[in-house]
Order: sequence, then structure tokens, then C-alpha cells
Amino acid sequence: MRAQVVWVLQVFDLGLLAYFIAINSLHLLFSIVAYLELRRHRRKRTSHEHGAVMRSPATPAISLIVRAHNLESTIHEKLKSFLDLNFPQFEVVVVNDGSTDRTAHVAIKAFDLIRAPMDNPQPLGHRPVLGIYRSLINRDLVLVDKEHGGRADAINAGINAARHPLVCVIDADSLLEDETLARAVLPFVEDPRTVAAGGMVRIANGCRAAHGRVVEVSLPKSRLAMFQVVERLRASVTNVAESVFQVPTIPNAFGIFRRDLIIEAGGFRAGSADDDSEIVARLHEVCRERGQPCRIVFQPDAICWTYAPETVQALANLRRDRQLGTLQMLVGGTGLMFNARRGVAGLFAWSRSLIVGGVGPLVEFTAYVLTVAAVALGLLDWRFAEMLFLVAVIYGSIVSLAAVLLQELSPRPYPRVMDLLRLAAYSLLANIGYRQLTMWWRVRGFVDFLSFTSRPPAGDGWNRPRPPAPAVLRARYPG
Amino acid sequence: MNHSVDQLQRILIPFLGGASTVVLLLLAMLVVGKGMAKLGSSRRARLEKQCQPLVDALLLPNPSIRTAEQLACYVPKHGEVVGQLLVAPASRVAGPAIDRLRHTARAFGTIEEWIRTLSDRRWWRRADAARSLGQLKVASAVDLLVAALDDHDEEVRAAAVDALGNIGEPRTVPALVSRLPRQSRHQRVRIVEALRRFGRAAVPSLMAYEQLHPEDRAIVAELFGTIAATEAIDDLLRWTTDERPAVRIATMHALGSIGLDQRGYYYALRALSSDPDAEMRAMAARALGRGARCEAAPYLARHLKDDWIVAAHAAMGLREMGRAGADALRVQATDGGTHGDLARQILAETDDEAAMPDAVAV
Repeated sequence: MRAQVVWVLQVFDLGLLAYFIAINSLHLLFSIVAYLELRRHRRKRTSHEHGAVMRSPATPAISLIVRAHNLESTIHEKLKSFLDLNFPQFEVVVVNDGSTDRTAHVAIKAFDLIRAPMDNPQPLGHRPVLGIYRSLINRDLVLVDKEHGGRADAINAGINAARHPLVCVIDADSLLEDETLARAVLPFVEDPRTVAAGGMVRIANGCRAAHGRVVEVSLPKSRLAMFQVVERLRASVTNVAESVFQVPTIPNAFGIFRRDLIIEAGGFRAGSADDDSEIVARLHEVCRERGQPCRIVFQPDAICWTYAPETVQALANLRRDRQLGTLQMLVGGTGLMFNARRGVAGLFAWSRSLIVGGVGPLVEFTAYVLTVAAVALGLLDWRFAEMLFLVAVIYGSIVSLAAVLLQELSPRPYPRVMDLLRLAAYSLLANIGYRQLTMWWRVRGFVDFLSFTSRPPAGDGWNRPRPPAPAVLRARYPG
Repeated sequence: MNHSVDQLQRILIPFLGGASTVVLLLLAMLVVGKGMAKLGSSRRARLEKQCQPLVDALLLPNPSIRTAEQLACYVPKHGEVVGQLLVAPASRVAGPAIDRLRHTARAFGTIEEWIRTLSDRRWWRRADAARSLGQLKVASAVDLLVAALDDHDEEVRAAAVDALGNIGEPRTVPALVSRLPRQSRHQRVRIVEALRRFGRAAVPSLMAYEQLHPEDRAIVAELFGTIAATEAIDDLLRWTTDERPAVRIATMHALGSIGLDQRGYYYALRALSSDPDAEMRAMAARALGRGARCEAAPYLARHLKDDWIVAAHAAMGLREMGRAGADALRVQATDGGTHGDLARQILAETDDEAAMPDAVAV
């Protein structure tokens, strides 16, 4: 009996070893590919090209869709910073997603927003719109005031109100660089087959920001935010490498999409994961139905800065919500997962979500539980434990450290020696403690999913909304 | 099973050892590189600390010759640092102090160096040189700076625009205006800002430019509005009947920005009531609103039922007209439809809650 249990444990252990080796080797391969790609990108992107984008009449106009929820104190500065972006033709569509504070009121006052007729077609469904406002100070600003419905719902309302052929989706608490749009739009100018482009998402905690721009790049003081910086760097490496294989994912903090295709794909769906892989998969499907090629690109020099949560509770909520969102997305689209119409790229996107987002935490959790059980039963094979430590912790640390080194090739690396050393230290520490903690939160997300625990709409994350308030503005200007 | 584990161990340990060595070596190289850069910047900071008192002494009304001589000692080895120290105070001083800084820079050969650097292959050096020449108002570099307006790098073009704005030589106005239509959004803002710094001195040049390039009349009109060129009002009034809508719109916008005189008021009323272009009527409404003449209130109120852009400007104009505007809005606010909605919003926005009809009060 004991021999059989040991044999079963060994088989499990071998499987776990294979999983960790495969995942980390894939990431190491991604690091090498990302290094080559980033170098190529640095050589290729010149000011000539940038100037051409800025002056070319062929540069497509962009509707920047910004979801705002309870941002009364910062909405004025945020919108001003978006309107100051350096791009030939764009509009800012800010969607007030049922804020319970005076977000809409502050924006209306600050930009002379005047209520406009809602005469544009509404191809995408969303919660009711209370009013659309256009600015007389700046013609490129539109406010969509609507009932609360979460991130995807707000984006869909923004897409309906957008006028331009490209839509760029960001959150209001994101910070863009002056040239972010110009850099992100370049693939659309170079190749008309491009249907979406993503940008590099960086953590803004610790950086000095003024007027909606990051003016000094620095690391956060919070340990939790530091771990997230390392995590983000690893994700960026994956994004860059995947774009080489023509299957990039678009980070949900920043992406540019062709509006007509997004509408044809049915818009965004509630329950998004860390990235917009679900919409990417559906875009592939639309392209295949149209019989046209589908080019999705990741632009490493188009930077978007976002703030990471700095408290354990907020991060735990974020991870649980996202895990729940990923699982809902995966289950909701089971029929689509192995659908030949989505092609290899669509299949890859779904498989990646399934392996990394869906079962990944469970596999890791099983590894730790088995190890503890084996120790308790006196069945632990120390060679396996040692190997597990090597492939999970040491190998993982090497991959994280490689991602830290690669950030030096990004347009705005962390400038100080101490920054580099701190990042290196955290990339080693991230595999001891932090990784297990995030795994635990994600497992709890899994449990929530299985137990059908009711949760607020995923995608709101740590900035979770309060219940919707009475429609103040509608009451103020009754029709 | 044990055999497989042994095999795996034999491959994995050397592989991980090699990979960690490579990664740690790269990290060490980066740390050394950054450390060297840090050392360089510390040395530079020390040097700046030594030279700063000498530059400050140059700003005094009667600096001693010895100060310049002492500073000159640093030039052969650290000319770039000295040049930057001479430029740094230029943004907070004016008149004779700038002249002294410029003379010193010229005596040290720094200005010639900047002029040479304008053709450097590195864009950031070209941009720095252009900026420095502008800060010290080196009028002799104007032609080269005009040439830099066509540099292939946007940073250099931006620095050249700023420099020309700082120098303020009126003969460069046509060069700046002619580049306006071809530039990016930020660059256009910079050019307009540079021309604003010229102030009214730019008006004759702008008028001459418009004579030569009537196709750029809309741009010139916009600029007249930006620099509040009252002496251009006659031209602007003439252009309100231009056959090109873009020119008429820009002209009316400019008149609104400058402020309407008696003639302008009637031109705006005429445009509001009869121009076929909604954008033009909107600009006329804006101009009348900014004029805040109460007798325009009924005319504006009539246009609350016009196209949205006209109605919105008319409503905003009525807001500026105090009681007369509020009365006109209150009449419209009892109606349904977009114009009633608009009137109610404006009344609410002006916090004139009492003025709102009972039927629609919150």
C-alpha cells in the first residue's frame, strides 16, 4: 500500500515538475525573443517615422475612451492631460460610469460641457445613458453620463459615442506619455490589416507625476507594489514575445482597436481577465468570417502607466475578481475554446487563458499541498522536493531577473543603480511568499466561482464601485 | 522513475547554474554601467557647484573682469558645463543681464560651438544648442534657427520654435506662420505660443504674409485673435464675407476673442441670422456672448432651436448676459426638446435655481 502511495506521489511530482519546467522555459524563451524584438524595435523606430505619423493625412483618428468612476477630485486634471496628448486628430470620450460623487458635475463645469442630442446609432448594448455632453472649449471632448454597469459596459457606451475609426480603451487613473498614441497607432499606418494594438503597461506607484504625465520614473516604497512591478515586467516580456509570434494579448489597461470590428464582434463583455484576450479571440473570429487577415500588434514603446493597489486586501480583491472573471470567461466561451473558426491565434489565446489563468493556480496549489502531505506522512522524497524548489523558485527567479534586465531596453527604464538592485532583489523574493500568496487568492477566486458566490462585476478590481446613486444629473435637467 | 529523476537532475542543475551566471553577469554589467554614469553626474554636479558663484557674479550690474577670467579657466576642459550654466539663469533675468551672459558666452566661443552643434548628427545636441541660442537671444543665429524649423526631429523643431519666440525677431514671423499647417498638434501650439510672445510686433509681418499667401488667411485670422490684434479689425471685418467658410469661421472666432466694437457687433448679428454655415453662426453667437451686450439676448435666444453647435454657443452667450440672458433662457426652459433641455442646464449651471420654473426644479 505504502509503495503504491509513493508511486502515485512520484507520478504527481513528475507531472508538477514538467509543468513548472514548461512554464518557466516558455518564459525564458520569451525573454530571449523579447530581447531581440526590443533591440530591433529600438533600431527601427526613428523620429522620421514618428514625424510621418504626426503629419500624414493617412494617420487614422482615434477616439480615446476613458472610464471614470468616482473621480471627482482628479477628473479635471486627468481629462486635461488626455486632451494635451500629442496626436493629430483624436477625441476623448469620457464615460461617467454611475459615479456617486460629483465627477460628471466637475467635468461639466470645467470644460463647458453642454448637453447634446443622443442621435448617434447605438450598435452595442449597455446600461441606460443619462445624457451626452459635448464641450465648447474643446471640441474633442465628449462626456457620456450613464448608469453604473462596470468596465465593459462603460467601454461599450463609449464605443457607441465614438466618432473615429479607431478606439483606444484606457482607465481614467492611467497616465499616458505625450507620444503614446502616436507610437501605438504606427502599426495601423504601416499595415491596414492591423485590427488592434496594445501598449506597454507600467506601474506608476513611486513615480513623480505632474499634470497627468510621469515626469520622474522611480520605484514604489510599498513592498506589495514592488512585487507587482516585477510581475508587470514579466507580463510585458510575454506581451512583446507573443507579438513576434503574431498572437499578442492586449493589456486591458491600454489597447487600440478598430471600432467597426469591435462592434461586429459584439463589443466588450463583462468579466475580463488581466488582459483583453477574450476580445482578441473574437476579433480573430470576425476577421476569419470576413475573410480578411487579422494583424494584432504589441508596441513596446507606447507606454501607459497605471497605479497598483498597495494594501493586501485590495490586491486580494483584485486577484480574486480577475480569477473569477477569467473562469467566467472561459466557461462562458467553452463552445468557442476549440472552435476552428477562431484559428490558431484564437485557440492559442483561449488555451493560454485556460492554462495560465484557469488551471495554473490549481496546479501550483496541488504541488504545495502534496509536498506538505508527503512531509506529514513521512513520504517526502527529498530529491523531488529539491527539484521542485529548483524549477519553481530558482528557475522562476531567473526568469523574473531576466525581465528586470530587459526593462533597460524600454524607452523609460528605472534610472538609478539602487532601483536596479531593488528590482533584482524583489525578482528573487517574488517567488518566495508573494507568488504563493497570489496563488492562494486566485484559488479563493476559483472557490468563489465553484460556490457561485455573488460578486460585483469583475474588472472593477480594487477600485470597486459603491452601489449606483440616484441619477442626479437626470433629475437636474429633466427632459 | 528514479532513473528519470536522476537524468532530469543531471540536466537541470548545470542548466540553471549557467542561466543564473549569465543573468547575474548581465546584472553586474548594468550596475557597473549605471554606477559609472552616476559618478559622471556627481563630478558634473561638483563642477557646477564650483562655477555657479562665478556665473551669479556675472549677473550683478558691474561684474569684475576677474570673474570672467576665472570662469574662462574652466572653458577648455568643461566648455559644455560652463555653457549650460550661462544659459540656466536666462529664463529668470532680462535686459542687460542677458546681454552680459551672451557677451560672455561669445567671448568663450560657446556661441560658435552651439552654432556648430546645430548641424550635429545627434538630435538631442541639436535641440540643446537651439534652445541655448534662443535663451541667450542670439539674433545672429536666426537664419540657422529658421533652417532648424525643418529638422527631421520634432524635438529640434520644437526647440527652434521656442528659440525664435525668445529672440522675437519680426522677420521670422513668416517662417513660423508658413510652418503652422504642416506641424503636429504640439508643434502648432508651440508656434502659436511663440507668435504670442512676439505680441503686436508680429501684426505687420502677419499682414504682409497674408498679402503674399491669401490661402493661409484662416491661419492668419486665428493668430490675430490669439494676439488680440485690434489693429487688424478692419481686415478681419472684410474677411467675414470671404467665400471660404473656414476663413469666415476663423475670422469670427478672432473677432470674438479680440472683442466686438460697434461694427463688429452688427457683422456678428448679420452672420448669426443669415450665414448658411452652422459653424459660422456658432462663432457669431460666441462673439456676441463674449460681448455681453444685453440687446443681443433675444437674437441669441432665437437660435436655441438652431443646430446644436449654434444653440450651445447661444446658450453659453446668454449665460454671460446676466439678467437679460437668464430671462431669455427661462422662457425657453419651460419647453421640451433639446433647446429646453439646454436652457435648463445653463440655468442650473449658473446656480440660478430660483430662476428655474417650478415644473422642472429638482
